[in-house]
Amino acid sequence: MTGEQQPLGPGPVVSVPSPDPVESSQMHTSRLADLSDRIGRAVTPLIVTLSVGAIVLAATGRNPGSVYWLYFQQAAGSWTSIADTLAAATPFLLTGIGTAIAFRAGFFNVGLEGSVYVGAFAAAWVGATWSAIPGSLLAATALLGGALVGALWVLLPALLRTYLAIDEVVTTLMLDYVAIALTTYLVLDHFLYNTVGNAQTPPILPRAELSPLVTGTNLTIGAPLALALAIGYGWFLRRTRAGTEIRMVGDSPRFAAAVGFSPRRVAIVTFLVGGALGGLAGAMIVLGVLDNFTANFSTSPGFGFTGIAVAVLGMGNWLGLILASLFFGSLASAGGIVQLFGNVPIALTEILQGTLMIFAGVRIVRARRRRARKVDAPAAEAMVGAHVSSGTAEKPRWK
Amino acid sequence: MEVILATGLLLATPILLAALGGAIDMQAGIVNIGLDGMMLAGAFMAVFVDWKSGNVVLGCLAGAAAGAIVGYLFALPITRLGANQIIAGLGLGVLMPGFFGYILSTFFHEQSTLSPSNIPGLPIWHIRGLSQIPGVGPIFFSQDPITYLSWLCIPATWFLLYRTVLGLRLRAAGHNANVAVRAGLSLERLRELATAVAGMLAGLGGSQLALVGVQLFNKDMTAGRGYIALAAFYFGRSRPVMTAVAALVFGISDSVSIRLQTTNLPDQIPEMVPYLAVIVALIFVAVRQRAAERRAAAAAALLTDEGLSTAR
Repeated sequence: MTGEQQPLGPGPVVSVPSPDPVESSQMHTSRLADLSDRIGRAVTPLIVTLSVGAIVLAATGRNPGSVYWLYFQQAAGSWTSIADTLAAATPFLLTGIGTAIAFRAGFFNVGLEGSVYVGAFAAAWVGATWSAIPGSLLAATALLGGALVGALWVLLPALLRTYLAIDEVVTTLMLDYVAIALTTYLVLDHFLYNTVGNAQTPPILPRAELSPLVTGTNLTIGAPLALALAIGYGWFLRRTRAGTEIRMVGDSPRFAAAVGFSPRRVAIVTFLVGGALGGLAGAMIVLGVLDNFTANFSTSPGFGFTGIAVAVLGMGNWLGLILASLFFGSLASAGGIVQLFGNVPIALTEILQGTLMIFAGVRIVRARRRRARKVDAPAAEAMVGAHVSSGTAEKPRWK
Repeated sequence: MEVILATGLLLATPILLAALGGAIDMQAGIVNIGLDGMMLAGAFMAVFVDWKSGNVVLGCLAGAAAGAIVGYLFALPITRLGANQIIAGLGLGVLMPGFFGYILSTFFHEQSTLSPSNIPGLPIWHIRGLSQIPGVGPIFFSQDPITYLSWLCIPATWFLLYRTVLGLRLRAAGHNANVAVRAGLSLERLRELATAVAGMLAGLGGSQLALVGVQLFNKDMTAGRGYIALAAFYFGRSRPVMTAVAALVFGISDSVSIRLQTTNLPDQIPEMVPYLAVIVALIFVAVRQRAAERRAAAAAALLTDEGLSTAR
């Protein structure tokens, strides 16, 4: 946003507004302002969300303070509950990273819900039938299989986006629903074990299961793996050439292309990585929690959709992603118990998550320098937000 | 066959109404992914008011009003606070089932369904004379009032968008924001209005969904119809007639899928049709556009010497 972060200067086609001369001379202040702006943008939706939740709770005769305290206790009050929260946060972190990496490159991949489904199904199939693979190598194969299938699932929208400029929001969203129907069909017609409740595939072989790190919880090797992937994601974006390429394309595809980067390659890579992470999340749920594939397992509100909330709340920053996934992990792991003991409907979780997504990225207090900037045409457009022309949706941008 | 088509038109109504609303909204510059949530709000209020008042007309009006209010409130963070419309739309799809689930457990001690007994449902109007026409009659002229209304909404939407000043302004807000701003229009207000109208139509669709046939509300009853509506107005490129055609086709495919449930054929296949159709349609449109651009570029290149040397 500031001159210092754009070493090559604003190119002729860059939409980033030229640096304010006053600010360039006060870099320190501007960095502080930038940081406070970012924190404000992360915290504002959280405050709005908790307030909305509090209003809903108070309006229905409940004490918001004690409900939130109960949530906190159930999510972090004991070692077991912490382990449960970490376990619940793991898939959210994976789908969050997967969504964030495409967002960072300026692509709106909302197809991870589909990747979660097909990845989970693939893992269940490998885990139950590939008995020739020895020992716990089977678990690793199933995880990789899930990631691979998850990646392939978003290949079509990636290609359509890069070669035909087809809006990826619509294609990926549509494929989410195709994946739900397709996996249900596959379970029912080709791989059915029983239909107590939702249709299920046969259980995976015991050696394909991811064993819990803490007895009695679902915390598996998946959690440290996801954590490592989050840190790796942060390092990759900041410290590697490919990461720089992704960030450049995200900031300005035409400028990046002009200096020799390939927006097409970035699109396909970020989509595939995102899909793979979605598939991995689905596979981990199958191998670590469900032990089979259950039709429609990813509901209220879905691991992939929660990943979008994680990505926007975490603002694409690796630490932000971890914290955001912990937030949603807490809600998910504590929700059931709070419903049982606090008589608070579990649907509160969905209210909080939905509100958070609606208010993600809003700026209630505008940063000083935004207010100070002269209102020119692009700024006016930015202020009305949500500028759409010819059906292409506004992309999320963060620095 | 007649039954499948008649049921298909009936099932298409919520999709059709929401898709027309989405088309208006899209023309005004908002990609409305929250239609599903607005439809759900309409369904709940329709059942609730119908139950409490015993009047099905009041129920439907309440459903439409609830949709409009949700639509308006949904637009505010987008227009006034710079929220991202796609994420906000997906968020509304998470929020509304949660909200009504919460209401149901708190006030009605139900997990997900509100089904009051003996509440009036939507009648089926057999239009005198027309419904007796063999073949066509039972399909088109034995429907519920909201379905008839939804058909009237097709030309009405066209008229609104292309023959009124308001429609011109809405389209300016979506297609040429700069011009709209310079003409002194408020993009925010136009988009809020468009989203409220979209919500109203989706809410009315929700009322029909809840009050025709079995009168009940379930927090998952929209079952992605709002997203099928999204597919429909993308398919129809936000033009009322093509959007309506797509919505009706998707509704009929829904009816076919219900029909298939009674046989041994998998009903998930027709379930996928609308979603896949929109992708195919987008590919088709994009390829055609590409070809046209290439032809135009080639033609332009022929006319200039510079073009001859640079044309590839």
